[in-house]
Amino acid sequence: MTIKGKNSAYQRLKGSRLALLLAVMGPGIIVSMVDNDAGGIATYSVAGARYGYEILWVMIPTVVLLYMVQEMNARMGVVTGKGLAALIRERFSLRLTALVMVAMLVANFANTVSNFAGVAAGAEIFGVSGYVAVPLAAAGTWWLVLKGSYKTVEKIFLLVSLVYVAYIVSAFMAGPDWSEVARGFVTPGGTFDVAYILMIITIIGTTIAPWMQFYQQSAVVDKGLGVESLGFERADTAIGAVFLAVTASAIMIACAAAFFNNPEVGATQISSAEQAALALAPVAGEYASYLFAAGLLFASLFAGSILPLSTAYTVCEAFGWEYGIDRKFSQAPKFYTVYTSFIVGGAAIILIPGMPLIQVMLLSQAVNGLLLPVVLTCMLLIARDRDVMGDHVNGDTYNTVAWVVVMVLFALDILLVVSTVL
Amino acid sequence: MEEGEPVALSDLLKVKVYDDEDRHIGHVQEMAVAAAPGQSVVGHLGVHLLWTDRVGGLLLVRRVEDLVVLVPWSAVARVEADRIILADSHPTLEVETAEGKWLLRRDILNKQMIDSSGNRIQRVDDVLLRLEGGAFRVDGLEVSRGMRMTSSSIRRFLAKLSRKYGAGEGSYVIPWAAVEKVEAEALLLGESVDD
Repeated sequence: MTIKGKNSAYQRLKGSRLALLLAVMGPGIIVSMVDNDAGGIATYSVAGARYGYEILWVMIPTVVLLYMVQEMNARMGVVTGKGLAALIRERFSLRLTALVMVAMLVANFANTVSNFAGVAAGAEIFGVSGYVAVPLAAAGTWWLVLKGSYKTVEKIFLLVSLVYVAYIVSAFMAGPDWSEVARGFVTPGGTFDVAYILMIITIIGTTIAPWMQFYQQSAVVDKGLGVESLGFERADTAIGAVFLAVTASAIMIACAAAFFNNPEVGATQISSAEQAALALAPVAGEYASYLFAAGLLFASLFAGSILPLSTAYTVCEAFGWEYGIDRKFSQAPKFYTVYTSFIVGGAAIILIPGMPLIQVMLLSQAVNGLLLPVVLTCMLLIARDRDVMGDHVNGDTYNTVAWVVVMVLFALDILLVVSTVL
Repeated sequence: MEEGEPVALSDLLKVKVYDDEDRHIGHVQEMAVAAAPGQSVVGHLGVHLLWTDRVGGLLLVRRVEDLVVLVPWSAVARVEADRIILADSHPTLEVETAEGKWLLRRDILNKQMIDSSGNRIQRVDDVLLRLEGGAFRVDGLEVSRGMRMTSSSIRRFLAKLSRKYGAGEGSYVIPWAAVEKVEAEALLLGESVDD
């Protein structure tokens, strides 16, 4: 149903430049690319360095879980024509929506900070000071998204998305034992001690983050996709999930080949993505190191521009405020305030000497962990509501499996949050 | 609930409903007005039944819970401070379909409001009603305190609506008469925030 009569302005709102941008690539693919951000790269690097190929199997169930969750978002988007924030507001209450939005603001802001940290780390490997790179990156992304022409933004984002190939190339350059890699994917290995289990939880928590659910559904709605596009959207989501798994696995393989069981490096010394990038040079060659660092730099830049924009759209949608990059500041002040605060605030925190960035990342991880079960529960209740979803409700079997998945994620998240806090 | 005092829909939801035999049969889940601009009288009460073994004249195979029925307001005996009493006995209540009605919780509460120029105003924080002669009438749509404090354009818009529609009762309500259309995506208001 559409608003007729005095609706031309309403229809105009739906044709924002974000929609045009998203039309270039599928929402499922974009959300997966952005998910491989600085935090994700760090987690996969450390996992590969510490546990070798034996932890690769985790990516298979993780990618299945990711697909199930994101497919529900895509389905809700095409069936209802509404974003997840709007559905939560309409199905539940203002109070719950406000709570979810506050938690999401905290988690996404911390994510944005960690992405600017990734920009600083990546730039410093190329000899550019973080104090130069971060302000430039912040100003550049702010200007590009809000002031640049659509065609320029499109081309730059498409170009930036190619950097993820850098990890696949790095994995090959690190010279892994491919038979061991194959065994790692199909045979759960390793010693199932507390540290190993926490690493598995961290991988899942990093790969399935709450902002992704809001982002993909809004993107599907912005694209104006109808129920007839559901098959396409499922394929798009599956491709995105597989793409994410391939990139994440490539990072793990590169670090496993270079550092695991390598006494000259010492796997336990690797605790961040930039350490992994630097340590790759003597093992896999200078170019592998630079490729890894370029991946970190541009992935952080990509996520650092998309995440604040996504947050601004989600918050404004939840509260019904005016939004869209085609609107002037005076027309959508709250939208621009959220977006600009994220960019400026995120960059400013990185520039503070001695800022405890590890604590910021842990805060992001903990809030994401607390938020994910709430968001997934809301999603499952909405996806089961025939008044909202019509014939596209979750079937009994799918619903049972989805609840089991959510319960597993609940348990894992509680463990992660407890371990983060303790 | 006092006659003439404004009351929020969110405060009425979950109010207990009793039948004429003083049995607790469920709680308020919905209120409905006729689906036409300017129609403000609540004509139907949506009751979330604790149990039932029939819907209208149909006897169900087994008793069910979690069922919402729309009862005509003529079947409401009286509204008390903390409960609503029906004039009929459950389960032989007269029930109607939702066709041709706007359900205040489903169709109005939390819905996006858009002005006549297409600007998003905000979502409906609450629906304000008033008890008059034993029946509820929709007064308007509440704009939250936070929104009023942070947006001067909203304050000007509310003042303009108040002058035009003679809302009188403070400037935190978008008068119901200003709502021109109720659509699946949004409520369309007849005035523009830009004017």
